[in-house]
Amino acid sequence: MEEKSNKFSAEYIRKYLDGQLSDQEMQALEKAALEDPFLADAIEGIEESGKHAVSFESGIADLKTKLEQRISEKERKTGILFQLSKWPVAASFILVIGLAVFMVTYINKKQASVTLDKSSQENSVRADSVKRDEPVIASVKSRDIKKNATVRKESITIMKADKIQPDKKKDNSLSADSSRFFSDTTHEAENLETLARRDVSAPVAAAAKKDVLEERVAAQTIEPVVGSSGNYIRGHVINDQGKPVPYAKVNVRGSGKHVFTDTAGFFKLYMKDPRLAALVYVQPAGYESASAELIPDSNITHTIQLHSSASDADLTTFPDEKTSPFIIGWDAFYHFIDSNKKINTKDSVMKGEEVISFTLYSDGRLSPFRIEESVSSSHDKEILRLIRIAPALKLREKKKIRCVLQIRFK
Amino acid sequence: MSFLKDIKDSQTADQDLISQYKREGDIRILGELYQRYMDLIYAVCLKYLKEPAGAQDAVMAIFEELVSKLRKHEVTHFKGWLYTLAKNYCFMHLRSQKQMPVSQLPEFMQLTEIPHLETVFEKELNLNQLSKCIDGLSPDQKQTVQLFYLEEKSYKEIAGITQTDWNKVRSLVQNARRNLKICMDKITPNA
Repeated sequence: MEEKSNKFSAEYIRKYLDGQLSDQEMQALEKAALEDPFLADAIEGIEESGKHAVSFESGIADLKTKLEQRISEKERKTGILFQLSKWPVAASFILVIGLAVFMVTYINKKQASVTLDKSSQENSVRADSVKRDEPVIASVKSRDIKKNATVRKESITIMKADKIQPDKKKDNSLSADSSRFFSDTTHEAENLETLARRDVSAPVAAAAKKDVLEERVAAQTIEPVVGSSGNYIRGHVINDQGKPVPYAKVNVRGSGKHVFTDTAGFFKLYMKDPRLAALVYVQPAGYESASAELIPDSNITHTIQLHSSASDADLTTFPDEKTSPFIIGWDAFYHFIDSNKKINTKDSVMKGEEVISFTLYSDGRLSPFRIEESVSSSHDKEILRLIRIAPALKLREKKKIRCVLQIRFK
Repeated sequence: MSFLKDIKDSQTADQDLISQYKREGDIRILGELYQRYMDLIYAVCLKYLKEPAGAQDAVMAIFEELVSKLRKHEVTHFKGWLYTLAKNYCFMHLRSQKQMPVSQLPEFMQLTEIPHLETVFEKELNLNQLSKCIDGLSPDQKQTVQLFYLEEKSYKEIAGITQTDWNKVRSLVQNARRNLKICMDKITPNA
């Protein structure tokens, strides 16, 4: 059977598709294609080529040239390598890589926008490191105060708690100083983390309650350095004006993994192998995507600057309003919610931004919902209610897509 | 485009080239081998990736994989192996682009069906059982399969006779084949 189908070249298939073969020959090819998936796929491929401007034959001719170039290139490469003995080559490789790592580390340390320097190897310096981190907490706090006009008391508590949480996981015996300072908040943080991580799609009211804290607990942009492994790539995504870009999708090429930046534009990626650099893609709505090759190092926060896409200048404040090419009906969906929103409870005095993310499937289904940023539980409820009755969204081509809805209450 | 024509249909020649490549590590030998199938591989990539430019890149990337993989792996059926390699490459590429329809994922895990279909082919010789199974098909499928297998008509002819679309005929034959296979498996489970 294998030999049989070998008779059929691309040229022969082309004749078949053009109707130049006799009925008998056609039937023989069809029969062979049923036996041989390779042939069947090839027929469909050549059929597909008819839809494009580039003819199949010219494609093959291009490929032949490319292959010849590749072969001569490779010959040269292998030739050089074979002339040298194995060990000097290996040694120089290691030297070059070592130098490169050193350079990248050095440069990044200089450029880092937030550098939590010195990965202390000993646990005894814990108290010190907590202190060192405090200014960072303060800066994040003030940023949030600016952003959400109302900052509730509990969220401040949690920011402290969030700060201590990773420490607690790693070592329960906190040093005297820090435990005195944080002892009343650690428990609370644990509970809230559980709450916040929960999917809100089912019991909306219950989970929405504390979701305001979710992003702060989950983000951990200012996780302490103590004891952290070097498996993390940290980054800070900013726009061309130096402002943080929240909810930008960050991909690692080839892994299918992605994370979103938090409200302050920070992200963190876990890499299995800390020695490997990863090609990181940032694909925010409303900006041109950017990529950078980053090396995992917990002490460095890489800064990635984006440029606004030329088409829409005022998207910086509402990056997600920009309609994805894959979503149909986003504008209607967004405007329905934006124009119908109404808060009837006492929470209506509260102002700020509601950010809710969800996955849109090809059948129009929306789930699971996540409150990324909350003004109050009444606001969460209202937005979720409106999402249910809003004009349906549709997907073009894709199976599913993660959407971020951002509604401002003013 | 002379290489399109001189696709040699002997498997041993492929095998000879593979062992020669393993021995000498000469990439030209691999190039010669790859050129025999490059047009078909390009067609397969076109089928899955749809874009001529993307398909061309894929053909070159598959060649790169071949350079290293053929040194390491013991390949006996080069053509089938190469097809699987190419198809998997395309699926991996689509998946990394997030364009992969979920329904196609299981196919990615399978090898080519060639060895399996061989047994089907043998079973088809057992005409008694086959005719029983043909009787069990839907009228559409029955008519098409009879025209195709027993009267040896091409899809085009069948489309003319039954006044249906060419693509419909193809899917009728494919579906009938699948049903027949299931039916034959039921009758002779151990064959």
